[in-house]
Amino acid sequence: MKCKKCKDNIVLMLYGEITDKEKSDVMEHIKECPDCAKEWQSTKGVFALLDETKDETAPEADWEKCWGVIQTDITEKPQQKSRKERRFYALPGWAYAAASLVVIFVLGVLIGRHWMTSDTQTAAAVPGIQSTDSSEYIKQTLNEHFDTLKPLLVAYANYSAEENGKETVTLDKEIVQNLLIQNYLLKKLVVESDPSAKELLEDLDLVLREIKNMPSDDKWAHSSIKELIQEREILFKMDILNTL
Amino acid sequence: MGLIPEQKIDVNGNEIFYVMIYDKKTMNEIALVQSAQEGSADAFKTLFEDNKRRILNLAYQYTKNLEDSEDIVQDTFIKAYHSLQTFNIRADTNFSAWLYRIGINCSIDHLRRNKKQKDNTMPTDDIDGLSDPTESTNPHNSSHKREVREKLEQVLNTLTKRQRMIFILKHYQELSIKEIAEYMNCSEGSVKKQLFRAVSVIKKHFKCFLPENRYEMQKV
Repeated sequence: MKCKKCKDNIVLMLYGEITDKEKSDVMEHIKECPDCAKEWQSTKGVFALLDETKDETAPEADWEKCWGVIQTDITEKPQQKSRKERRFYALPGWAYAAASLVVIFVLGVLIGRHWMTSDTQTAAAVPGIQSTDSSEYIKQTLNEHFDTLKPLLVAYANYSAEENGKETVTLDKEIVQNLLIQNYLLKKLVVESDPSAKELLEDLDLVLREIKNMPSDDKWAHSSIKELIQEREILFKMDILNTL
Repeated sequence: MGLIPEQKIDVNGNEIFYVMIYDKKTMNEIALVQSAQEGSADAFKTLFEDNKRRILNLAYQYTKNLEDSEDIVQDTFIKAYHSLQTFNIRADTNFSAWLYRIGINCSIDHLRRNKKQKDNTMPTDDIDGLSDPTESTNPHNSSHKREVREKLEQVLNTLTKRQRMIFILKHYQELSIKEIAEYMNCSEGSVKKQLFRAVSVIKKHFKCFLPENRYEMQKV
């Protein structure tokens, strides 16, 4: 047994808080360790001194006065309701603070959403077309956008390295950039209202970026764009949306 | 002896009915608590009469001041009355234990609030200078006891409020470490740690009272 443990156990032993086994361990250690033996003697001595004050009991209090104070208080103020009976007003202070934070957060989200929608509508006005929030206008704009893109996508979809030999689809980078911007703005406009249109616009965004970034005479890149168009069934999706 | 029917739901969702057997004293206490919960001031006064002395003793051993102890008793019973609806006769152990816990908290709060007590607190280094144990030549005379008491009060003032309470509950109220942990709402390990700290500080200041040290001091 270590001396630190022994010193702690001496205190517990004097308070009768250790087992007989622990007690015999302490006594054995004390026999071998002069430091702990000294500690045992001094602790025992201090406890004996403290025990001299144990008989001290409180003097008699003025119980009439005590009860008078208690009675005045309990007759003036009613008992608190039980937990079951407690209502909203009985909640602790932190509950009100938490509720206020939730209300502020919800209000913030609602205001933010309203603001973002207004931004999207403003952004839709950028391409120079009249701004309106009608779904008819959005559908018309989408169709025009698809009509612009369709010949380009068909050209890529029909590309064949073997048949066309050295022929590649050539396109002005600036035109692709403008198509990308238009695609982006439309994507923002239809963001939540039409998930299928949004998905198609995202696919188109991917294809247009590929076209914009590829070297003009790279046949392998042409083939990969063709695969992308076919894999994502972009032309099919455009036809479906056009007929709706 | 008295019987109180209980109802519980087991893990399978079945209702279990059984009766709890209480002794006469506990049955009386339960009846009084129920009446007090319904607003009977007389029932609450009986509970006050039954428990006042135990709370006063605890408060007095903690504060060593009768006036403060009376304030603590009042605070304890006022708090208990206003929280009486939260006392669950079936779930909580017994009213006296519940009240005792309130008494412990009120004592600690009272001492914390009491600026006068704080102002009287002496720094640890000055304690030994306050009363010279060598002045008391006869350990059996009455002044020796008073001296020990005064010294103890000074040393207790240097402990934290919790250490002081744990020491009082252990040494004077003679509660077990497990009971103290329950009353103080902490682990048994934490109680032991605080108790060791309190005893170690007390020992440090009381060693000079021991006969062998007195002899050594007189020799020098």
